[in-house]
Amino acid sequence: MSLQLMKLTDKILNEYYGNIVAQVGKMLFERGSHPLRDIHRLTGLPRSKVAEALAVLIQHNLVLVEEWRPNIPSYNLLYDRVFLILRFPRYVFLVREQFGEEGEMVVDVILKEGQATASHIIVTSCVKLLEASENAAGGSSITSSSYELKHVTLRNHLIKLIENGFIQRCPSPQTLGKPCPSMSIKEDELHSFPPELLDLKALQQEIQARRAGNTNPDISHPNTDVLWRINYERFHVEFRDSEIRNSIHRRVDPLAGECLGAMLKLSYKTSDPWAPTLNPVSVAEIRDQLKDLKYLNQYLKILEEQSGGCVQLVGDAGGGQYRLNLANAVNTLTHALIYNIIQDRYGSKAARVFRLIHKNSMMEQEQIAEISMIGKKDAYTLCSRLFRDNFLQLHELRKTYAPSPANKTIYLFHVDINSVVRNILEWCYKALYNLIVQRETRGSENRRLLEKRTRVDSIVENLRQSGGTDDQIKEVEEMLSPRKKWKERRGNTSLPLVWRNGRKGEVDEQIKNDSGLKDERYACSAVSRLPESGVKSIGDTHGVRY
Amino acid sequence: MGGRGRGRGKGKGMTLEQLGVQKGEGLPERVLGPPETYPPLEFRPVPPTQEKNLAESYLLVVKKEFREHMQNSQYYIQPAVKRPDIERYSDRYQVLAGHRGQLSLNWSRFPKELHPATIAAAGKKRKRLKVKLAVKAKRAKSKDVNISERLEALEKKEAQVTEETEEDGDDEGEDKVEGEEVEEVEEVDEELDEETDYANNYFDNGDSYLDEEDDALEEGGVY
Repeated sequence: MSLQLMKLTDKILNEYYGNIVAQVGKMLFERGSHPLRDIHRLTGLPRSKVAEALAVLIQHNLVLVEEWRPNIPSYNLLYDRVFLILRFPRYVFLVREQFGEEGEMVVDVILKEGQATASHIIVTSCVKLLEASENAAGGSSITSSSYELKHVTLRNHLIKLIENGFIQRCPSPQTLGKPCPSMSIKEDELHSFPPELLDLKALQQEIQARRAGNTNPDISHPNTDVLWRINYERFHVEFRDSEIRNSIHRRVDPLAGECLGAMLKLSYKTSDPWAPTLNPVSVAEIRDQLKDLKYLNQYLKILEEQSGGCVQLVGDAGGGQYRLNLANAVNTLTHALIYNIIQDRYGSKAARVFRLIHKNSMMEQEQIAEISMIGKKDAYTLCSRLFRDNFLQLHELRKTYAPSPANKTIYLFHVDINSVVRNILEWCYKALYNLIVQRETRGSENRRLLEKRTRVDSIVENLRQSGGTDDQIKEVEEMLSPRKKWKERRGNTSLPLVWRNGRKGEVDEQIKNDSGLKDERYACSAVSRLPESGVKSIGDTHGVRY
Repeated sequence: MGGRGRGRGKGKGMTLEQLGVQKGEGLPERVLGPPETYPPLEFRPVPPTQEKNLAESYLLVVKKEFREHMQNSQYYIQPAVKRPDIERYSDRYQVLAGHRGQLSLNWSRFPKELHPATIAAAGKKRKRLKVKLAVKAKRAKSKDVNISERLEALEKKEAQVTEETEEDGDDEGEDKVEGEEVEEVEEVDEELDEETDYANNYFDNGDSYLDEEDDALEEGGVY
């Protein structure tokens, strides 16, 4: 909840859903939950447009409807989810790695629709996949067997994703005909797929009709009221685990990472993945998982020493009981990240000062200079710069409050990690916002160039597909006027640059996104250490901590 | 305690030594004026890796595709087209770019007030209300006339009792017929409007807000 986050949210909504949705979103962000008529009044938008915007936001799981007064709903923006839109490609990529192309398509369709029925998901992704394979095959028709079985494999993938918790069922309205439907769902329905929902014959008919060019065939499916959506948490568990695994991988070796991965998998069988400490697993169980690992005991020993408190030995039963402390792991990662950021921004000396203060909790200036072996003056400057940017806090200590020259006040520097994390998150939001703005400007400055490029490319592509010879292609390029040719030539040199710059922006975005992710995870773990395990977002953490 | 207010900051704050300035060393120059908007960076940020990572380029492609898809989907809400000052006949035949019509969603899952049908109905209701108000005002005006007429009539009352009542009844009957006619005409107009959705005037100066509140609070008609 901050100005930077608000700007970022506004920007993202603007980009993905248009200006009107962004205005509604901004208003909801600024003022919290409000009923429709207040939104209409405060934004000054026509009522019908506000209603459409809200419907879109609800469809994409970005707004929660609550009953404000009897029969009058109010709308609450889940702003942390808006920020997650930038992470969608990562979700798709993860599924692609674990479940292959079909799974990727399924998740892609769901992300684009927000909430979708199983039949819609299967039909759309099936049509897309078939088109893609046809294009790849160069227009030749595919064998009829794969054509017929495609929707069955897609259904199987969908069921697999649901059972693994990546996709969950949306709550459905319990009372029909009320102005404000109350949504709820049973726990066991969330991740189970009732087989009677799909009529495979109808699916196949629709796919055939769609492929024949009929965009709106009149085929009814039995599942119009059951919608599915993405389960953000499940993806984040996956991201967090891969981060932890990777850090061990870098620190020790790939096998150790594998070992930790196996331990995580075993622990999840018996405990909640967002709990700060998981239930212990025994060495025997781990050995069952990793049969071909030779030096398991040695690896476990190394992990215990090297993982920054992540792997803890808790007992000797069953050849040794190990417990995973994820809160510790995330803490260690976050600290490393903060040290790195300070090092990149203020230099290694500043990082040393910061680490020192962080380890010793409270330190006086003189001490810092001595222990860090940096000149007194430099140490002061570094401290005050870190203090200025809110990385350090100052604690005053004096014997009495009576002012006298003999009574010297002692100033102690210390680190409040929560505030540092919030600070860095702010930076990330700001950087993300700046990058999006930069990308937009670059794009609009060079729009004509880019358009021309795509046009020429598409003509050439068409020619090639229709079997045009090289001469013909040359001819097309000669058809461009000299001026255009010049531009084209210039385009050849400058375009990649533009593209790369645009891309650079996005890569940065991604990187920032990553670090944001880690910080957020830290925030998450901070919450999960509190009794309630409502482990969701930065927003939540702020609420809890204040 | 008298000196408290004046002596503020006497014993507080840092001494020069604590600020890092040694004795005998000159103070740095004072900074006058605001800091630069873009101060020079001391450390260059690490450039993102230039090497083409397959996973990264895949992410970028997906991201771009997703963005473009969203911008062309029904969820990208276009602002209502503003009517030009003069309504031209040719406007009806121009295809409005970017207009994608209603959202196709499973409306049973949304609060009723968001449903496009309810919104249209509410709009109609409001219009009808306005018409009714107008008719009422008209009636009141004609009643004014009636009063003077009636006063005149009252003068004659003593003389012609039976005639007066007849006249009055006639008058009111006429009024009613007139009002209904107006309403009918207005309704026909509305339906014409509905056909070309674009003719709707989306501009709302907020005057109708109070009406609306009434609407929301009491679903039934006011009259």
